[in-house]
Amino acid sequence: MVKLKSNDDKEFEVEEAAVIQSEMIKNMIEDGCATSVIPLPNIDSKTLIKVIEYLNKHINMGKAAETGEEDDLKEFDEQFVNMGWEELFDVIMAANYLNIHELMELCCQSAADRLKNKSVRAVREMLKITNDLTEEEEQEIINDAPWAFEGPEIDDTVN
Amino acid sequence: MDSSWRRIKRPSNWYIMSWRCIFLNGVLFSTDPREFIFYFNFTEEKFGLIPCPEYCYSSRLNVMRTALAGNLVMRFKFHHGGRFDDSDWIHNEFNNDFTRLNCQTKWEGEGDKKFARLEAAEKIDKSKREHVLAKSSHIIRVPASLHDFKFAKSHLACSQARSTRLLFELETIMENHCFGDIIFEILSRLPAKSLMRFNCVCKTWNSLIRDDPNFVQSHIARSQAPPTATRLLFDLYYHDNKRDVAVKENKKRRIEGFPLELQEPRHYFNYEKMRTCSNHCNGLICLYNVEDTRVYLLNVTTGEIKALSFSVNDVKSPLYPPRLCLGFDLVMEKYKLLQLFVEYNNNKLVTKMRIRTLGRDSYWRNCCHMSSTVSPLRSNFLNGVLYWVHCPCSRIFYFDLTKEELQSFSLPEEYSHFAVLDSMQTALRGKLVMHCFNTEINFSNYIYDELVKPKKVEENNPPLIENFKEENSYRENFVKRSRERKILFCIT
Repeated sequence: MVKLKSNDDKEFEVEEAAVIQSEMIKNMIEDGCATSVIPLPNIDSKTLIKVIEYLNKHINMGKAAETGEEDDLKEFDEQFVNMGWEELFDVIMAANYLNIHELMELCCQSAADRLKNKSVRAVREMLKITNDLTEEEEQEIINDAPWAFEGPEIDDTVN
Repeated sequence: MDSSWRRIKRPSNWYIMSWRCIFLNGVLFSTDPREFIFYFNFTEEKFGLIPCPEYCYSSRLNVMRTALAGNLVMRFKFHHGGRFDDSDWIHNEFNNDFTRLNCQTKWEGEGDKKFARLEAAEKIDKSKREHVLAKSSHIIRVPASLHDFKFAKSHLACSQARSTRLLFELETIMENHCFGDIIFEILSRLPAKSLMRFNCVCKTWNSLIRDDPNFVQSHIARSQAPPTATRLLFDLYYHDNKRDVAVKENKKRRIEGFPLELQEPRHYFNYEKMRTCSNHCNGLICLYNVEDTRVYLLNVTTGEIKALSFSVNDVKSPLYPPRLCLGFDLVMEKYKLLQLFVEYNNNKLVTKMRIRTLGRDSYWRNCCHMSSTVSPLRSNFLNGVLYWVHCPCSRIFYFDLTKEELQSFSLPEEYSHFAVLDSMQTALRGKLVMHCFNTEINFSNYIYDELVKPKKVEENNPPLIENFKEENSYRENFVKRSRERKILFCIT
């Protein structure tokens, strides 16, 4: 068992087999640095719970392929990324910090899929980005590639 | 100059080097979750340790105050009777001790109004993802971008005199930097059309998509990997004088088995005069203009078109489009153009080849030639290698663009009569996909693996990995499509 401490001072116990999916913690364990609690100053407990949930589910990834539980895992992944933007970014940051490749891939791909067909206005609203381009600059970009702004698939809704 | 990396012994009890470091007067300071402050002296090239003043719960560098004060300022978190207490402590180099700062009064007492402003600036809502730039008595809020971040870093490293120095709130920039990394990761998974649109989301995204060479590379790498949920697929038409392509109705269809949508061909060039004359490669294709007999390079996604600076039609009659093969050398990261032409040599037809690298200071080089009488027509580019199926001798020729060598391997024995290379499936799967026929015109589909490394092919034929059996509908579609020779699939 390995103990992880979030930045709001909550401790979590995780099985070693699960936690070594994180390259960073794996390295620490190999170096013999993980005897006591591992502090994670960049991750809050809410996000850490999410990450641990993922790690525990993916603990036997190799086995799942053999026993035909792949679909089950796929379903879990689909459910897992079904969260708000803020939360998704927190998980991505945590995955980046802990260096969990699969989780990073899953979340980034999910984010990309959500953004793919969105209109510019919807993207700004979803990610709370302030438009700092002037109207002329914006028009120039649109004139450069008008085809990118047209098409039936472009979705202006925010969700 | 004349320098190399030297190894430095690191303290045994130091296991995490925090990325939040600060450089101050020749010493680099960093905190560690174990409540120590580590430093590295650049003159002596030695690590050291400063203990915290009394038992504190956690510590972090107060980067801005440190930079302003010119002395190390730490924010310690103490635990007093059930509640936490945050306070800033300034380090005194001479007695290696900390003094508690009562910042507000002290700084104002010095007549320095800067600090109060910075305090206020710190409170700026971080969700707006802006960072703070403070210059002597001004506070300028600028949108964060990676360029600013680099500038901030280099400026901080270069400036020595404190009065003229720009001060950056490193912490928020760092946060933005992290955020930028994640945006980078997400955007590099988007298809080209979305990227062209998201150019105008904000300045940061614009400069990332347009100017960052790392971004372009990562996007290319990602869109070449086989599972392709985000790639766009285009169909371009071979020239056909009788057919009026412009009136072709707008329709979209899904490619069997792949979550991809086929995009319409874009009429950014005149089909009457322009003819496609090469395979597609990373979303680029060569066009031949019948009127001015020049060759143009078309970016299928953006519709940009550019004339090549050299002539390619000096070998044969100008009426016929040159037979070109466009490829990308993965090692040199350059595009190369291969031209095929047929010549009589001792009353025998020989297909000759010449090659040139696209870009400046390049010229045509003659290279190997095929000794066969009939030259293959269509080429396909995949992972740095060009492929042709050569039916009369039941072989597949391939040309490695890095080594510039032509080699071949034979078709699978039981279906060696005739073969078609499925360009769309090849591009989608990232592997060579062949439809091979036997003499009874039964056919079988083959996916070749490990052709990415042509070395393995030299010894014997590549092993057959998968003899894939798809549903009937797929087969029907394939047969239909393989008869429809006018369509050329192009992926970006």
